Amino acid sequence: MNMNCKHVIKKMSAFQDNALSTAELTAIEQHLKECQKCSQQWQELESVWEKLDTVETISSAPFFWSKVSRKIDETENVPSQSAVRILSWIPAPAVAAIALIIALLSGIYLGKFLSQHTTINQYAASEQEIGEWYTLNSTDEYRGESITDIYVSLISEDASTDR
Amino acid sequence: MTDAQIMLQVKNGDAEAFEQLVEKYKLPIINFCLRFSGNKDDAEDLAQDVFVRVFQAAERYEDRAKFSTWLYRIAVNLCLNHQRRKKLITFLSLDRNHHDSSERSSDNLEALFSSSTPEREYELKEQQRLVQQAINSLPENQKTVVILYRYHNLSYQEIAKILNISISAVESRLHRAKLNLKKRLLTVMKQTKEI
Repeated sequence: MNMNCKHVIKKMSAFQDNALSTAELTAIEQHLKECQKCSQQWQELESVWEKLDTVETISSAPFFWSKVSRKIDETENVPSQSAVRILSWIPAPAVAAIALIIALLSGIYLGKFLSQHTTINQYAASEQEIGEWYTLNSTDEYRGESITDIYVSLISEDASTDR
Repeated sequence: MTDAQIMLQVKNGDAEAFEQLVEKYKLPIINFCLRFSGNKDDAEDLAQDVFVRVFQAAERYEDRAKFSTWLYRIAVNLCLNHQRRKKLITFLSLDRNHHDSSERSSDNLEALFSSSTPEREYELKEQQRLVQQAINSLPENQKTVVILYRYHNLSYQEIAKILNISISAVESRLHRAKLNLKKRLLTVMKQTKEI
């Protein structure tokens, strides 16, 4: 089988992997002996392929099983995988923004609640007083007195309660 | 006991049997993840996730294919997802000066190789970085095939089963990957007079 350079270059990878028929392998070997250009291409490919051995390799992984085991336990304790999966799709800035809005609204609501509650406590006693002041008994009878008499009687009532 | 038999025991709830499988395959899977991610910490995390996924899927395991085929398929999928997520994070990153730690300017590379660097270990680290960078530069489909073939000694047929592609597709991707790697690494190797 005669091989031209174009065909050899195309098949060089498979040749390197021994993934060709015996006839093709032999033909390419013969061509490489005779063709300097293809031979150089072949050497370059071999060098580059060999260079891939230089990558870093991890040769030990202590405690790997215990880490895997712990992760399995953790995933089994998660109540809702689908909820977590859904939440994990929300980008972190969006989550931060939502958390901030919730915190602000909570703060505003809490502030309002506390201020209302304080006001009520502060005036609780005066409400009772107000209730006493405005009971029907004190206002349902019109005596027909002059304004001056009424004023004097009111002042007299205040004076007696102050004691 | 074969891997498939052990896996069937795991399917029946035998956690100790699963430990056997983890101990047997932990280093190949960690190194597979390392080739893919280029980062040791990511590699170990990913490898742990692979085995967690295997354990969770044990109920669905069937003895139709080799256990290692199934295991590598899970590893490939997890690594691809990790890579895509990382690319998206990098793309969305507000830090415009973000650089991949394995990237350097070609000027620095030349300076590195032309300087009389005394430490052999430093040179080796640099070579490792360059090679990993070259592998990382490959398109996903080529990178996956190169890693499985070159570092895990899997045959074209096994790779085809893992990736669910034809054998000729494996051959074609490997061929293109080698051309790309050659283009990437040859310049540097010539500069350092390695060839």
